[in-house]
Amino acid sequence: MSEEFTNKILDALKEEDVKCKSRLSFLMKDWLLWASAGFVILLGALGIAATLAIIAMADWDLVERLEHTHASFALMSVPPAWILLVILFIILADYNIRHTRRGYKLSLLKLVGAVIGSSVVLGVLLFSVGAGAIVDREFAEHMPYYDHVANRKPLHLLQPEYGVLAGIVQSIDDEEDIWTVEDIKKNIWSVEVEEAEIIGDEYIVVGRPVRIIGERDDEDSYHFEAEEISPMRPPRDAHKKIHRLRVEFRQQTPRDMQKQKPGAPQRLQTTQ
Amino acid sequence: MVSMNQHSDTSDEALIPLIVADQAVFAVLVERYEAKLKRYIYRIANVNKEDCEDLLQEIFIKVYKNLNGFDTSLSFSSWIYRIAHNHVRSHYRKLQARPKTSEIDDTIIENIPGNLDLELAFDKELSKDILLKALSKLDEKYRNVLVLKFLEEKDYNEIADIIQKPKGTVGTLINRAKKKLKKELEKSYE
Repeated sequence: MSEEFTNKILDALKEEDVKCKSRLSFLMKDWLLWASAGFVILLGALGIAATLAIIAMADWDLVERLEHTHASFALMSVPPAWILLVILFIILADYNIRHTRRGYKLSLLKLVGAVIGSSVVLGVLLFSVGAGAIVDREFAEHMPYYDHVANRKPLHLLQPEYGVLAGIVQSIDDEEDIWTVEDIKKNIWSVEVEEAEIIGDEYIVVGRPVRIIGERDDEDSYHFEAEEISPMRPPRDAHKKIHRLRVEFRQQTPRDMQKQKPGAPQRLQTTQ
Repeated sequence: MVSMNQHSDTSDEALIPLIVADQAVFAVLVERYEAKLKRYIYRIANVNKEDCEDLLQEIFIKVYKNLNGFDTSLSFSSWIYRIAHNHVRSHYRKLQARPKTSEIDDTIIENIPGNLDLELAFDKELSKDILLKALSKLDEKYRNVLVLKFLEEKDYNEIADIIQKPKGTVGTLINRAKKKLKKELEKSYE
């Protein structure tokens, strides 16, 4: 029986022209798995760096006004989309490493610990060299809907009951010292700026986001008395964006000015 | 045909380059593992003689194809058992059926009860039928580790290499499997 079976196997190998796979193909598969795990860990680290950058750029000066602890404010600033992506990257890295030749020997705890640990260490390093802010900005500029998902600032800063308002400047009436500002919920606010300190006014233009601190006149009204107005702070390098818009605006020739479309940036004349 | 005597002193691992150079040498490995793997297949899967031989043939062809992928950090025995284990599992996955044990030999009667530390005194009296029924009621993963531990007499490291799980997980699986088998056996004696 044994010899018969052995011959059957050898005949089958010959008939089907079965060849041994090359050693290189096995090594390549292992290398590819390690390389893709490394790549996914890098993506996770970039996600962590972007998350840290977003937290670092939160409006920390408003923690007390908004009646938050530092921890709850940090948690509130964390973009859930990035956290979900980081978790996905960690799962993918774990899957890849587990499917390498000796990956099964690692316990789940050790493997997940190692993947999370390396992602966090690399993420902190990338954040410290500014890569997190770059990732966030590049995504905001080039990826559709990213801003809606990852930029929670306009919503967090829309808390008129705590004297904080944020939105896009719609118009500026210098004679009456009243601005109109549209918040993220599309409410139009009439903002009294007569007594307001305007910080960074060179960056404030119509069509760009601002942060306003002050007091709501009435709970049911959309009238706000501003004490301090400043451009919306980064993330998204708002200062740079606005500065670029202003430079473009200043470089326009009178002919360009005539051609200007409605809704384009207007020169701001703030009260001094 | 290559004579077994010619390579009787050659280890499995040392045979690999010889087989890659000359396909006929593969006969030595087939003869070494045919009986062991056939018994293992019977123990973990509910197959008749023909199906068992077909599975065994497919396993050996797979072994031959993947010889260059043999991980030298493992024993060859663990590696070939791993291929057999994975092949039987994927075979049943394709059929969407759960493998059931069909062969229980005296080895399990000698090995399992002592390890289970059962209060029931069935060391010698344990009926094959009852054990077969109890084992067949276990999940595939528990049955597999019991077969590897008590019938194939593999140690924890070897089982870890065969089923590709961390050693700690193997220990947990064996403990759970023993408890579940004990429960099933107690039910049978009630």
